[in-house]
Amino acid sequence: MTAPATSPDRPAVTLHGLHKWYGDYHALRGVDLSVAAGERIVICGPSGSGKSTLIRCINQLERHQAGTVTVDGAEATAEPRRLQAIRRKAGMVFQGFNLFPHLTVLQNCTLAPVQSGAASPGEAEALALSLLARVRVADQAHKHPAQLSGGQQQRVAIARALCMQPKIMLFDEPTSALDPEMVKEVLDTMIELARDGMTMLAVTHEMGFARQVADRVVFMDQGRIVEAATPADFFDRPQHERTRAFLGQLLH
Amino acid sequence: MTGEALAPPRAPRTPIAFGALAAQSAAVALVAAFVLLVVVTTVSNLELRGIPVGFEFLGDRAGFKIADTVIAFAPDDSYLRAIAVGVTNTLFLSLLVCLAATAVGVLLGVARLSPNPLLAALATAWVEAVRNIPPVLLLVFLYAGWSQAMPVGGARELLPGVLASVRGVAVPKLLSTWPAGGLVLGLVASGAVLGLAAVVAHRAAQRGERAPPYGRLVLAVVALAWVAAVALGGWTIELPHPRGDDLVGGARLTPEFATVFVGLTVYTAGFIAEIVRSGIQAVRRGQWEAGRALGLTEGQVLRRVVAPQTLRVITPPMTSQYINTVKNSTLAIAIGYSEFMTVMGTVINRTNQPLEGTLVIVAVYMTINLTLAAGLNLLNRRAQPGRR
Amino acid sequence: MTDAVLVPPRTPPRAARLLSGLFGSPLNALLTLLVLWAVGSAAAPLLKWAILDAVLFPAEPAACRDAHGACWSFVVAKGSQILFGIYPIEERWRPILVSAVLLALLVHSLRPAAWRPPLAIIWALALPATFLLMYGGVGGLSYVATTMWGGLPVTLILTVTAVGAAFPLAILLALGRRSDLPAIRILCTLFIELTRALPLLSILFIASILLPLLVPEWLLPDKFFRAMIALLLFAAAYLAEVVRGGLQALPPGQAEAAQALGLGYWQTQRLVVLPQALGLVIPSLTNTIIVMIKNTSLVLVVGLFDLISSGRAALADPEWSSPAMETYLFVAAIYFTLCFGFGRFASGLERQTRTPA
Repeated sequence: MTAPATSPDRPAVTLHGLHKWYGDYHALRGVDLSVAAGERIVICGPSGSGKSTLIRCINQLERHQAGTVTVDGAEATAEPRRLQAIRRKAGMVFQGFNLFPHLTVLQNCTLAPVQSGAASPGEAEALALSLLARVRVADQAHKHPAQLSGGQQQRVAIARALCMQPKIMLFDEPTSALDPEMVKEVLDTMIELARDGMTMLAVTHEMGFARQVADRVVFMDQGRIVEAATPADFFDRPQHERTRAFLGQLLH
Repeated sequence: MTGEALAPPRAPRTPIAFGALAAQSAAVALVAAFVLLVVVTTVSNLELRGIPVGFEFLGDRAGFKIADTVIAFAPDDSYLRAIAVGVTNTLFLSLLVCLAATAVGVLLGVARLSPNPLLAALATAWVEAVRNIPPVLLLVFLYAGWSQAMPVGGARELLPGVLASVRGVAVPKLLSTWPAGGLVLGLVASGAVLGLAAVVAHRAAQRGERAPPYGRLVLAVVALAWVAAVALGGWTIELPHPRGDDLVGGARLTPEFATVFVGLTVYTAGFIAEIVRSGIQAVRRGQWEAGRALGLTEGQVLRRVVAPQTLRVITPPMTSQYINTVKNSTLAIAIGYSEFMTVMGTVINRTNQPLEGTLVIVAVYMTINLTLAAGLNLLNRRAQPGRR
Repeated sequence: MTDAVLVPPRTPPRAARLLSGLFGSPLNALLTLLVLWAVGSAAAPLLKWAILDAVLFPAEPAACRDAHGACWSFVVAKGSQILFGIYPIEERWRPILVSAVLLALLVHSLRPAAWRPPLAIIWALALPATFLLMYGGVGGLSYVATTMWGGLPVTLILTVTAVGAAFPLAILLALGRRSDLPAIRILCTLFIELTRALPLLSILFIASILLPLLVPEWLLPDKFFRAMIALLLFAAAYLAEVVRGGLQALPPGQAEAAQALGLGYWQTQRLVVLPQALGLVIPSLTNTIIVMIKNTSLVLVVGLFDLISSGRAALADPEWSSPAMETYLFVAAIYFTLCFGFGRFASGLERQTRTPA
């Protein structure tokens, strides 16, 4: 799955001065981040640091109150058509998979392309089958999600997001809800995706994955980006006290 | 790393999309246009038919009789008083039905869970019967059966002191020798003393002290005081006796009232039984097992462990059932008991002012509903653990 | 140690368990005896009246006058009038057909397997066809005014059309009540709460007396349709709350996933949210339908002929001795069959939908 071409000097995602409140709770306190096309970012941090909120602001599942979010050159506003366009450019994989239980695996994948008018039913089905084969669940195409294991469901979720041919893939703790023996199969799928050049932002605790795949590791704490560096610099030479504390807790 | 100095002190409002604003304005405009259309038609219709507008009719003479009244009413009284009679009738009926149905319903609900299969089957039959027939049918049926069930030309004794005949039911009446004011004063004083005791006990409990049983002590004292006062004060009980097929003495209830009361109680008890049953079953089995493992008897487990938790679960559906009972009281119109809707029907008929009548109906029911809902909500919140 | 296989003690046969339940403990035994005595003393005269002394045939007034027991001959003689009202006898096949079709439609519509676009078309055709058939006046059918309609068909027509027509409105109201747009949310909430606060009887009453004022003469629906509008609005408010319950029970991740895929609001609701939300509340939906079947009995107050008032009208025949209790028992049996049957169907459906696909 090759990443669709974006203009080399146009960043895939730009966040500028991003603020988000939940009521009085200040979840994101002015975040600046620029993600280049084809770049792979892993976001980590303690719970409550705003990592999920950040990712969800990119595809506007959460609306920000101040600052700007720009996805592939298009700025996110409240206008419904703009939102839909952005969401088609950014695919998302959720911690809880969120597959549609009343549809088959294949129908899960073809629903959005057909409904958005991006593909005819025949084209959508062909693409879906090829992507399902890519993530190695093609033989489950006509089953319902409840009949699949957790690892299989998450891989279907990845295929479903890819069916919209997004420019960016967002991962919100994709392996946190999986039994340990199924984490590897999902991570392997994500690694293959990265190797094929897809721009990725992943919120995850899987540091092995970060070391292997990430171009940058971003550490967040209390709504701010504290440190962002290459994996080598991040893990071996953390600059900030809080980063070191966090790493110390992780890598017992 | 970030613009902390730029952060505004509080959350700015999320910008609103233009599309959303347009949709809302369209909706409001549509509704407003519809309302306007209706108003214009109504006004022209009112003029056309020469129907008066306004609430002055409330002061006019009613000119009709009302058979059952909790407060006194004569045909010379105003429409306003007639409406008040209707409302009090409804509330009185609803209150009695709620009390009786709760008592019967709780027993019925427990019976459904009884290990005795005969008892459980009977309780189930009762519940299934009332769930699958319309309540108005039950009322009509009982009313039709009333005259057949009553002995011809005489009266039958249902309970000691309670007589029933074709003309109605009579219960013993307590006649007080005190003036009404004194009675009210006595009741208020008792209520105040009990309330004070409850507050003191509550405060002590909050401080974590083990308070002496204020509540029960004070209750016993007040009750004894009342009994002594009544016995020494020369209060009498007036028992009813039959005269022909009529009844003399005691407090009289019309057959309509008796029918509605019995019918609605039987009906509501079935639903309350279901609520109680599912409440008991909702308490996890582990609670029973833990209680038994601690060596408590079944009865103790029921009273101390399961029942309080059941109470919390059933409070919301019980409150909606009570509100439903008030709504069901309107069914009495089918057999002629003068509750609120029946009275309003007569009033609207006589005054020919359906618009104002409708407003009165809506206002009264909304008030009753909101008050009940608010009051029961308060009870609801009290029943929840750990929340203030 | 021997290798003897230990056999678990045999569970006592059903009869033994029943007996131990009835008489096992002293309390139980006492209760059983008490209940048997109470039921026996009440049931004996009841059975005597209902069966032993009762009269079934011949279906003539004279037979009942001499009898001490229940006058079932009345029910036999007047049964069809109670069931179908004063609809012309030779045209009775029309309300019978309508009743059967509506019942079948209702049963069919509750199964999630049937929730596809053709269902809406079936409804859109069936409802007008119902009225066409009942009214007549076209295609060689004689015209029968709504004042002649009565009994079971009226109950079914009112229930099915009120619930069927209210359903789309209920979905819109439920979505509106959860909307982010404050104006729409407030309007929907106001309507729902106002309607639920009033007893159905008052809504029927208000519709009957108020509509003539609010609506120009030429647009005014007759008594039947006024009652139907009232029932429709009432059903819409209650169904809206049922649907809202389903919407709330659905995990928010479903709507989020659909949105993340770029589906618009209405696409999300139609394809992902509503199919699942409605499936979650099938038991409540059937419960509401049973309640509405019972609620149609209230139209007797506004002068329409449902089963109860048909019964009353039949009782008014001066030739007979007015056996009210027998008539109402008959009507109760019909309602019971309808509601209980529906309830059983619903629990069967629930068991079906709970098994994983």
